[in-house]
Amino acid sequence: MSELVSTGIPRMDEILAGGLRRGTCTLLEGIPGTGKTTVGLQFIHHGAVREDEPGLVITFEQFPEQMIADAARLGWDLEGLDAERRVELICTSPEVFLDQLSEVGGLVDRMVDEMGAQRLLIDSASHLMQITDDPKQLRSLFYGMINGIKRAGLTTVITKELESTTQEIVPFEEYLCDAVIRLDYQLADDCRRRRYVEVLKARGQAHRAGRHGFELTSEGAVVYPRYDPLPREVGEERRLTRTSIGVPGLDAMLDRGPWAGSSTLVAGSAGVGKTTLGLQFVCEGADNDEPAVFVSFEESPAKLVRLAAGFGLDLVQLESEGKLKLMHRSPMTVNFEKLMIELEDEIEQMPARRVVFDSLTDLEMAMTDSGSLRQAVHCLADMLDRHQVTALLTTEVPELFGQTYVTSEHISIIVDGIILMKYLELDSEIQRAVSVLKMRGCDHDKGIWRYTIGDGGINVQSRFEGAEGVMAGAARATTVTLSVRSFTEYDEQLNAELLERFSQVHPNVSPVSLTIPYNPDEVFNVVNAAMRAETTNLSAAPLCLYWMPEIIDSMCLRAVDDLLPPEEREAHLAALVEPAMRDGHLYAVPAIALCGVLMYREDLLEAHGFQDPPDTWDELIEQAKTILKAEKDEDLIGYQFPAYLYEGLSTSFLANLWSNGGEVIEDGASGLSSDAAGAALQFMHDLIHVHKITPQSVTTAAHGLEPQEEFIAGRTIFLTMLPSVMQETNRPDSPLRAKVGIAPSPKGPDGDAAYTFLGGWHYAIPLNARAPVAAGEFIKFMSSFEIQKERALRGGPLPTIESLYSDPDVLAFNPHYPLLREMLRTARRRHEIPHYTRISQLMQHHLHPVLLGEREPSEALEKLAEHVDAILGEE
Amino acid sequence: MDERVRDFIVNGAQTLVGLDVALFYQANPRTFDTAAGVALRTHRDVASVEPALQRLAEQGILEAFTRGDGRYQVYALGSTPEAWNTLCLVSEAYHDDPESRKQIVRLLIERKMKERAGGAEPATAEESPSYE
Repeated sequence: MSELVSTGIPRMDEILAGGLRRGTCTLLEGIPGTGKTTVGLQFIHHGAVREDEPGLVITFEQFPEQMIADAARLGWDLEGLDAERRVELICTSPEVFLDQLSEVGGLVDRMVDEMGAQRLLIDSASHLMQITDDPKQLRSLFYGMINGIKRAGLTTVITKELESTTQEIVPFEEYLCDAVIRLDYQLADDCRRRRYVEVLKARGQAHRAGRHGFELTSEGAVVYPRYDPLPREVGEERRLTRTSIGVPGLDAMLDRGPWAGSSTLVAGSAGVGKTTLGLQFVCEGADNDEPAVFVSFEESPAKLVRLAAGFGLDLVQLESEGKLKLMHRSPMTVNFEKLMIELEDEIEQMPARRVVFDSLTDLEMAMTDSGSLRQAVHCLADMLDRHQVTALLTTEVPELFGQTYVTSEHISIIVDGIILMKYLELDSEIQRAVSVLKMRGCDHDKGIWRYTIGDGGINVQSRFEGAEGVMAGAARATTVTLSVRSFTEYDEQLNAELLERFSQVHPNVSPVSLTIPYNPDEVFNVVNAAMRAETTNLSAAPLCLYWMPEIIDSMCLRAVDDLLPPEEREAHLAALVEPAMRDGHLYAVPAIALCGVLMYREDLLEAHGFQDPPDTWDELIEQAKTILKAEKDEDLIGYQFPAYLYEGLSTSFLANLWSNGGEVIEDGASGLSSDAAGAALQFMHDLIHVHKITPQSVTTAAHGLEPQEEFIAGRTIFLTMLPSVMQETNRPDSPLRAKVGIAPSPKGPDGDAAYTFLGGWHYAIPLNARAPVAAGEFIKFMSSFEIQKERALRGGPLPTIESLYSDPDVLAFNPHYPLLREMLRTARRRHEIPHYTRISQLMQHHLHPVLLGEREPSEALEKLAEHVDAILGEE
Repeated sequence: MDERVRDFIVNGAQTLVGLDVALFYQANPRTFDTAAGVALRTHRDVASVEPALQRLAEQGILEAFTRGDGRYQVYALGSTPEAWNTLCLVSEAYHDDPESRKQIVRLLIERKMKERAGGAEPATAEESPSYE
């Protein structure tokens, strides 16, 4: 036989650490109406029906027939059990009972013998005072009664009336009984009471102390044990993933969304969209195989269904598919402990991965005292965390504008994150603003963002830039300073004109031209550092094509689909749009295109009998040598190309490699040991050291600027460089105007065609941009058709919009544009070489000494190939 | 009114207190109590409840148990079916049939009047018929 006796009251055994100890006496005390007799009868009924333990009920005051009738209303057939002698109800006087208890063969002995009684209910001990009001005698009587009961081996519940729940004198019965359970019925506010049960004592049992929820239902008493947060194990496994909140803009503010298993408080005044956000959150969960429970107090399920339908969300369908459970409770009657158990049951059954609790403000109404709200939220957050459920907990702040606090009771330190939604007045209009005040373990956006609630629900639109006083609810316009790079720095007048024109259209934005290094490798460091900062003024970040994929993969950029919608993207060179896409979203807007070209002096070639530019390496050498010999100009240089220790050196080598039929990587391994690669590097070496048509100075010319300047000054026959040099020679004041031709770089002996590299610059908006909206406007402005055309007409960098290469106005100024478009179309994409930035640095390191004449080409390529294979082997 | 009821009223209950006690045991057949206890529950004087209990016990309607080494007696419903059936008939007549109820009360009042006038023997236990 079990040592513990089940009470039969749901979850009562849980707080008693398993039940009542067999053969002990339990005092069940409480003020009138707390349910003492109901609990006692439930104990007897459960024993007779479920445990095969017949029970005896001794009532000193209430008539058994009344008890039978009351029990029948709870579905317990005591009369039937009485007829079967599984329950016996006896109405007697306390003195008779005590006497019978002490008498050999008396009433109690007889019941134990005849019906095998194992349980006893005495209702109630208070009537012993009918015998005597002397405290000593009373204690003695009670002590005797308990001993008599124990001698009979009965597991007994003795009810006792309390005159007050706050009585300071501890009744002696509590000392004498083995266990004491107190039922309480407290005022929750002016008009409602809440029931509680508390185990004050349970000898030899690790009972759960403290008050627990308790209800008298149509089926009897039910206990709702209080949730007790327990210490966690070190090293507990967590879901280290992000979850989408269901509003893309808000996910971006939260650095890809809240952590799975986190609790986020959504605070805001009435009508700001807290419930709407909750609905989007659960529906997003349903779409991602994360079932959700939505706990609501104010909004009935029907209202939620209607509200969600307005945003195109079908809650009924989600419920039918088991992806959503709507739990509605009245804030006037909700029992928190019961709600916790029901919620936890739902979470376990579904199993749910998301919960919306709407709202904590309503829960506060259910609390009997203000301090308990904090405890309740702590328990709720702990339970949700224990189940690793991602939760949104809403709370209402009373102030419509200019909130001074987010929550009462210091709840904000319990949750992982806080999202504040609010109204504000700006431009004589009520607008909505959202900000992330806190998100643990997340580099969240610190800005204040404008949002609307429309057909699709909440839509985060733009950051409140150029406004201050937003948090106070009354915003005032200010000026935004935007650090920018316009890619027209070499033409200061054009640059100034464009920035001025932008400011005229956007009076609240003051763009400041940013000095950024010429070398793209150094720009990478600038951009990388800016994105690691908490916030950056580099809101319109320039990205060089060859390292742009690396930046995009670092997830530090905002999607900019709205700046260049899909239908407008088609106008741009596809080869520049594709690398800016990830998972269907655009992360950078193409601003300028680049490729390496061979520029040559048409006048000199023609004067020395060369009708066409060189098509091969040999022709290049021959033409250069012939012209140099004939011109006898010591200042004239045959051929210059990027050979300084920067990425331009890599592009020079790549162009020669590709144009000689070689590849950096072939069949998953380095292709740099090939004859094609050896010939390409030997060609570059020989130009300087054998043919001497290229000066040694190219290897030390910082960023290739000097070769450009020498070509523009008329001191170089051939130059491989960006086409912008050619455009510079077309200026009206240039001595080379109409004397420069453009052609693909010559190909090697083993190459079938000449190839150049594809380059370009994009604009992107870092997640931590201080002024993303202004940056967006600037990017749209600078990448627009009008501005790209104007730049093309004024000798600026190559446009990314394909139609400009056949635009009559542009062709009149740039007759070589069709050739450039063809070269861009066939240009090789070096950014598609795996680990290109690392390989490029290795190329520079190993190849530069060859051009300096310090190392043999074969030795350098052998080392380079080893490194490349090692990098590929890391995968 | 059923003759068995009339017979019980005249010879068994004999008094209004006797009727009260009988109806009490019919409503609360699980009572096991002393005269004082029953007096408390019926809100009657112990001095009039105790003879009524004794009379009903002697008639087999109730069962008397001597307890506490003879210090007191407790009374419970008689264990025979006849006793229970009689109480049920009386309860039915008294509670469910207004005419019978009037007759019952009238019978008891008449008996009390006679007793006062000396025309009837005081209600005692010895002269009542047994229902056992």
